[in-house]
Amino acid sequence: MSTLHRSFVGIDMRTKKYRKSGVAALVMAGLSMPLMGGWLVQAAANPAPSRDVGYIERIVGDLKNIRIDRHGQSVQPAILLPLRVDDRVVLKRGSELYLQLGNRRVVITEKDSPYRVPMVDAPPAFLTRLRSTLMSLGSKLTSQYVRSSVPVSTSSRGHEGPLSLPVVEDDVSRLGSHRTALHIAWEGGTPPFVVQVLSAQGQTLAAKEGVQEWRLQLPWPPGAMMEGPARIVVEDGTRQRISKLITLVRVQSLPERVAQGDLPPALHAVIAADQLIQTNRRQWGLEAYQDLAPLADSYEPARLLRDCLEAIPSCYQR
Amino acid sequence: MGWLAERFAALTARPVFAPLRRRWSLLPPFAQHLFKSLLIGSVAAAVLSFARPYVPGLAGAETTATDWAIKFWQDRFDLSPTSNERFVFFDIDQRTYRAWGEPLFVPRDKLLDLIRFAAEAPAKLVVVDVELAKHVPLGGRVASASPARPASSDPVDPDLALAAYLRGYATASQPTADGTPPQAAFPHMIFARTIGPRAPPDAGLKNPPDAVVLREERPSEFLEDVVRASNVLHWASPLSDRDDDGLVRNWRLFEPTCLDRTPHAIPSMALLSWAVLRAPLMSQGAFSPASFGEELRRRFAPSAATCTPAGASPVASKASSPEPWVLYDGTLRKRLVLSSRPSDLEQRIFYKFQASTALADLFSRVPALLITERSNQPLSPDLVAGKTVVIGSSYEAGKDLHQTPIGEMAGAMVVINQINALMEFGQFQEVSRGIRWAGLLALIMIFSLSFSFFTTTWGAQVSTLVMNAVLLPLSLWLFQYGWWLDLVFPLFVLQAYQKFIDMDVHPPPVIRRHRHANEEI
Repeated sequence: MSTLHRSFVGIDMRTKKYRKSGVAALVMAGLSMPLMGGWLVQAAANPAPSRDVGYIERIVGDLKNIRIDRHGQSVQPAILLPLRVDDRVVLKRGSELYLQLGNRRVVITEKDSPYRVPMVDAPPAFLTRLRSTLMSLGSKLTSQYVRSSVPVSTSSRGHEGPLSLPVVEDDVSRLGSHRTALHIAWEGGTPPFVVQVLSAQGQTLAAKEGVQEWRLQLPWPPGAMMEGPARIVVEDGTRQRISKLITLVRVQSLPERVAQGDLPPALHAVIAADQLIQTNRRQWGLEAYQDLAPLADSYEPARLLRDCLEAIPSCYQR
Repeated sequence: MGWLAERFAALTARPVFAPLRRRWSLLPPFAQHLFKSLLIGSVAAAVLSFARPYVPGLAGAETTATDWAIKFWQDRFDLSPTSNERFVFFDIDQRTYRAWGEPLFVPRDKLLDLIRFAAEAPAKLVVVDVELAKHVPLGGRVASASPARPASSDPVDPDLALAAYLRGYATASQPTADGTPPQAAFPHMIFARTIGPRAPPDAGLKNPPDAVVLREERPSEFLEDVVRASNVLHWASPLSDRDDDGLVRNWRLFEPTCLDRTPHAIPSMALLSWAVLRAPLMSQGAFSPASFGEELRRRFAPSAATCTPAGASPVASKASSPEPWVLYDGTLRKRLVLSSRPSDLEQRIFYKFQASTALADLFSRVPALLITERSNQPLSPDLVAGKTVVIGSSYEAGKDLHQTPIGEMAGAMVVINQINALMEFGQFQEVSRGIRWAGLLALIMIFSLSFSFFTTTWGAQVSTLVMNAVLLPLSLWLFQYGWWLDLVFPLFVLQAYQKFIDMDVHPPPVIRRHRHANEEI
């Protein structure tokens, strides 16, 4: 007690402050030492070296065209063959190997050959986990909730609003010129509608009159659409008119989409459309809409995504 | 508090305490304050400890804390290679389900292919998390036999083919007449038993409030005799506990049941897997699955009267709880306590493998169609050999997807996590009472110091900071070894401490200024 007395009492406040912080630091250090020791022991022992990193899931082509070398010895390829780090896979033309490595699926073709099986990501050790937990906690504590709101109408309504083209962003939207039809939807206005696609020079490339619906598939002959600007015009029965500029681009200019080889075509199309939207919704929303619109009546995920794009504001904006 | 303080002051004012009062007044003000704080902290801790079951929010907060710790440690490496267990999950996934023609039941011919492949690899243990109680009607589509395995020698009915295979397997696993063990390895196989609530004899009868509902095992229509006669084929319970928030957190290590109107007790798939693989020490002699099952029945089966149709209601009174059965895991050097009333911590599943785990060396998920629907390509048994194989489903129509603290996963994944948790850690254990109280007293000391130095606000901030900086990482770090250092209770103690302590200082300085009682203010 006397030590405590000497340490804490009867000393000038400024001196006391230093002593207090010193003692506090000592207490903290004392408590932390066993913990730090444990961490160091763990850091030395962790992570344990991994043995198998995955297995062969599918073999395409002749088995003779596939060679797997492990430590200089050849291993017979087979389904479910366990793979280890640094296994060397050599494929000849026409062969493909589907590998499950960790939680990733990897497809190897001749152009990847020879392929060395890589290490899979090691799970994080204690300190990394703790750091990321604290970071995430810190970011939650320091980020402010930003209230965003959009005006909504609480009345029962149909398409009574002013004419608008939510799926097209003026002078931003792009569309592949390889398409043979334009799927388009608009909001508001009064039927019947006239829908036109005009070239930059004002020449009519495709048109339809007397449209009673708010959606349309407007076909045009193959090759009629050239790369460059084009204008989509919708005019309603009361002569209200909306016009938006789009850019037709070559198919090669479209963003690359990750192949989902073994999925049903409809799901594949939806995923591809979603990838386009995620790349840049304003730029590629119209292109994605072209993939979704023909499927929407028969495939629920496509309908949901199409409705998302047609909504004002779209789900992606929200 | 004021009333209590007055009573305390009145008590200490008695002449008998005069020497104590004199000594107390000689103490420096800081020491007086510190002692007071320590006393208040200890009283708060003691009161909370006694009232623990009744403190609102404490149990929920502890559950949330353990959930958080489990999530923190998901996908972790094993620290002890001796307790490593490797798993392969033959997953009847959506793709497989579609390839099999979306059948109502898991086709038994396909299941036979999977079991045969695992057994011949040979796996270390095969767990079939697919219910096999009923004959699959043959009126519909009979699943085609695998192209890789012609079914010429098998009976036409896939159920019977499966039963015939298992019968042959059980026979071949027996030692020969002259006592020579079989040449090949015959891994134990554990099958999911269909278990449902026992139908009450009187529908209008209400269960007493302190009763547990008994369950009834449904005998398999085509495998009962095969499994009963075998030493390597076993039934086990696939039941786990789902909490009212929808999360599967706890295992049920065994199930007191009725089977054919007789009292019975069945181990869970995880417990039986652990027992088969670890062969725990038993007082009755060497371990065998049969003796293990027998002992489990002897200890935990309900009374005979509860299983007869005209007997008592299908409930077992909690008043007659059997004694816990303590088993010892020689590898982990830990006890495993089987009790009809386990503590919350003893039941917790320490999940490790999430659905998309990256721990490729310890866990592999193999879509079942890779085995049943392969063309003429060779199939390597190396992935499966020496590992625990669990056959289960994750296709949506199978309704075997469950929410867990680390996310949604198939029932078979829950089973894998349960087996792994038992093999790697055993049951969770709370740090011993002595260590807990010593730690708590140390924390109270820190609280007291910080509350003695600072005002209430700053004292609370500093105490919370110390708790978070020391106790939280320590608790998380110990958690990976299956030890739980409760960090919620000290937080509650801190809160109670804040409420109890007298910190009425005007004006509130950042640093507390201690005065003698006779000092002028």
